[in-house]
Amino acid sequence: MKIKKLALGLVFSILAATSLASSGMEGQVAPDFALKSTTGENLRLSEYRGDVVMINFWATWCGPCRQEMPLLDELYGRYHRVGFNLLGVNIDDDTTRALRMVEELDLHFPVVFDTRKEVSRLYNVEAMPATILVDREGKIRHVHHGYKPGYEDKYLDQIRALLRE
Amino acid sequence: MTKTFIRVVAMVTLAIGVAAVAQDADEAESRQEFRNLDRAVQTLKKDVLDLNRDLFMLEEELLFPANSQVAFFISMDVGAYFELDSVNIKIDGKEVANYLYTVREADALIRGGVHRVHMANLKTGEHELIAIFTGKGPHVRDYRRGATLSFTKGIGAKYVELEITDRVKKQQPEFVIKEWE
Amino acid sequence: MLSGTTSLTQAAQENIGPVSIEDPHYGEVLFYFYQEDFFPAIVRLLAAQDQAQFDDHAEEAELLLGGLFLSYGHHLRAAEIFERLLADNVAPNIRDRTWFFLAKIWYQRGYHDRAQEALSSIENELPVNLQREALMLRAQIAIDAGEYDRAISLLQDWQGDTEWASYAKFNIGVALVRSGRVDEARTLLDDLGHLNPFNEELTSLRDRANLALGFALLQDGQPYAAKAPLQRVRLEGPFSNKALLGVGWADAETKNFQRALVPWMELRGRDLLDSAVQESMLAIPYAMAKLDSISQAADHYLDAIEAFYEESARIDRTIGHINSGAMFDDFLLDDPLDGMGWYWRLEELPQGPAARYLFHLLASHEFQEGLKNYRDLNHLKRNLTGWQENIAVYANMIETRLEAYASRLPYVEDALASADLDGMVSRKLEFDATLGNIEETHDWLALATQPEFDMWEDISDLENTPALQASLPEAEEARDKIRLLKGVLQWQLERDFKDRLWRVKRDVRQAGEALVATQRSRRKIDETMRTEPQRLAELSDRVDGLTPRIEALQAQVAGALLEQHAFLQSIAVDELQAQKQRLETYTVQARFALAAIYDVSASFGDASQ
Repeated sequence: MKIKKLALGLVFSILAATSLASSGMEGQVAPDFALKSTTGENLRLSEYRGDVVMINFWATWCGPCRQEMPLLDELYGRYHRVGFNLLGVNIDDDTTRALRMVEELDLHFPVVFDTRKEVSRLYNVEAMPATILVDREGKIRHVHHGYKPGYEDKYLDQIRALLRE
Repeated sequence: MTKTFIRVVAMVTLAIGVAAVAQDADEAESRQEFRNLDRAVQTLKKDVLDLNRDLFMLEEELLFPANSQVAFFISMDVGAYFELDSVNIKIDGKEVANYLYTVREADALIRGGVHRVHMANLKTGEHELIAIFTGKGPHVRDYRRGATLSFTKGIGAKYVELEITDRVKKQQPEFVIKEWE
Repeated sequence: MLSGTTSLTQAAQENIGPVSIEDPHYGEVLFYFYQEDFFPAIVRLLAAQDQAQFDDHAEEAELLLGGLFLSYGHHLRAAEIFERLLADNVAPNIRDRTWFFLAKIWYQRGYHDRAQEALSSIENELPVNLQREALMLRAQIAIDAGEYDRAISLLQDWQGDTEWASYAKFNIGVALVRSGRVDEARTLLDDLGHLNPFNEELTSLRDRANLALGFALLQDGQPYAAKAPLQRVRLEGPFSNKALLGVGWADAETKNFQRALVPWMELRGRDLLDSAVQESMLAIPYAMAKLDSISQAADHYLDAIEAFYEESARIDRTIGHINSGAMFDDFLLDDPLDGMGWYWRLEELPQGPAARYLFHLLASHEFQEGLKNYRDLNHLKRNLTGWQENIAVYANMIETRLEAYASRLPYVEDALASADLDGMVSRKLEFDATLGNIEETHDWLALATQPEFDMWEDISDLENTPALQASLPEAEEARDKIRLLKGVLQWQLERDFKDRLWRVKRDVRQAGEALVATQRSRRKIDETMRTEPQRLAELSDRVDGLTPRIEALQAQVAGALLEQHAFLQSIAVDELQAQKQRLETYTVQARFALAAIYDVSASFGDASQ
């Protein structure tokens, strides 16, 4: 009993430490993390269990991110009340630049800072922006890399489908 | 068994050295009292032993450490308002944990929850721990405190509890470290 | 009056005119109608009207029904419907068509003046083909009334289809002949006689025209002129015999007896059934006598008498065959179509000796009608028998359903009783309340698993052991440890709380949805349990009600069949008797002629002695 549980513990820690290839991540449990948000509070992914979560990795130097985020903000506004959460993860080294952009774009969804790039490594983010949809049970369901106009329609459909579960 | 024997021997010894009856009476009374107490203590000790045995079994289920592991726990006991933000742990100079606490988690700690923040595989011998916590106090926004511990890792498993408490200095919480084997 | 069967069919089909089918039921009726399957068309139409299924087409439907009845031969009903339609305020095109059909009915029943009135009431909304038929009807009424001129003027105005024009011409020609205006007739009939026909009907018409012209000229004492048209009649056609006879007579009239013999000899070898052939048997010896071949003439007369005698005997045998009842069923044995109605004709004669007489019989309108009725009655009989079988099956089906229902009912009732849906619903609601409470109070312990809960209990028990309160270092250590353990468990439970809460709420919600669905099903079952026996009872009643009706109708049909059979028999026998009569007449003539010859030869003989 002792050894079995230890083994499990080891397995989990191994999983946590290794980064998984993003595209193969669909179907697996979204790795948990906690980061400090723009309000000073720490936000942890697993506390959103029961809701649908979109994790959006962005940076100030990423042009398509700038296009995408206002649209995501719209989605957040519309569906937040029925169980949709959006977590913006900024990977800039300089948090003030990021804060300025958040103000500039008047974003309402929570934004957290991953200055040490630990979480983006955890999710094997290779292209920017990276958008990941997690279902109510904490499983990764959709992974999108990059942004082109029209992606938001796909997001909308996927979010609505996941909300219906 | 040994204890009974000792008691009997003591009684016999005492019985041999019979002097004045009046003296005996007093002695007898205090002896009886001692015996009663002793019996109580023994029972108590037995109970505590039993307790330890039960605890040990619980430990197995709840804490399941392996022999080479050391488990680190964070707990809180603060009277005044304090919002824990993060805990950072370095062992032997290497950062092993940097946990950010959400509002919910911090509340859980205040309510008595204990967080196992880290499990380390350590070789037997001396190790150094540096732990720092940050948070928000009623007056101080960016409150920071640290603690250092040199500990020895023995053969079996080990627990280290890092308790954040303001028992010692009011409104100034700090680490109080306890070790267990 | 000649109309030709195809045009009547067309007319019947065009009774309806182009209709945009909005009612599917109407379309179904038309489907059967266009296949000339009147019986099912009528049935469906009646059923649809019964269930009030024609919203847009009520009057059209009525008109269609009337037309169908007419086509089916049910004059009386047809007339009723049409008269009713006229009483209502209907659209002009329907009104005109109604008048037309009424005119047809009245004409057929012999009320020519009423038919005329009806025709006059028609304005100008008739479809084109019906207009033609109406015109023909008017003309025929005129002819029947002897108003040939009017008939001629009516038909001459007609500028239309070649075929119709030809028929019209023919009728005019006949009318002219009947009124003695042979020369005028001659022009028309001659035209027709030179017609270049494109179908069998017109070829036949041409033959008839030539024949009519020929005989008209003969009667008018113009034998020379008569020959030409008569010779135009087809040698292999149905009018060939009469034509041959006529040609012979034409020659005979011009005293060309030798030439007259040619067609007559040809005729003589043909089927003795034909009166023309019979006549030829007398005409030949007549001509021979004129040619002074007396002994040959006498021989021929003897042959004729012999032949007539044999033929008479054959007729007797045929009459016997008919009276035995076997003949008509032969007709219907090979009947390929199972359809019914006005326009059916017997296309091919069955084999057998009696068949030769039937060909002649078929020409008679009465017989045709009678045979049609007989055929239709047989169809009805089959129809009723089929329904009788079906009814038996339906009764059986209903019985089976009742049995199935009765046997299943106790199981259903048991199942419903033991389900206790209401109990489940109230438990679910309680659970909702409990969950709500748990959520509000953030009671993470409530969502602990059983092992976790046991552990918590164990720890709590340990906490409460008195030994723990001792001020011993071991006790203090134990206290600390317990606190640690409890804290770790608490952390885990709190951490898992939100996730577990969501899952439980989801499960409860799904259970609730399942309950709702189950309740719905139960309500449906309840309802069916209530209504099913009643419904089955109603069906059963209807089935029971139908059986005596079917039986009554079967009896009636059987009776009608017998009557019709008897009628046909009598027509056939009458016809055959008439033929016998004719043979007798010819025999008498032959005997007279023979006697005359013998007298002459006797006197000759006497004279020569």
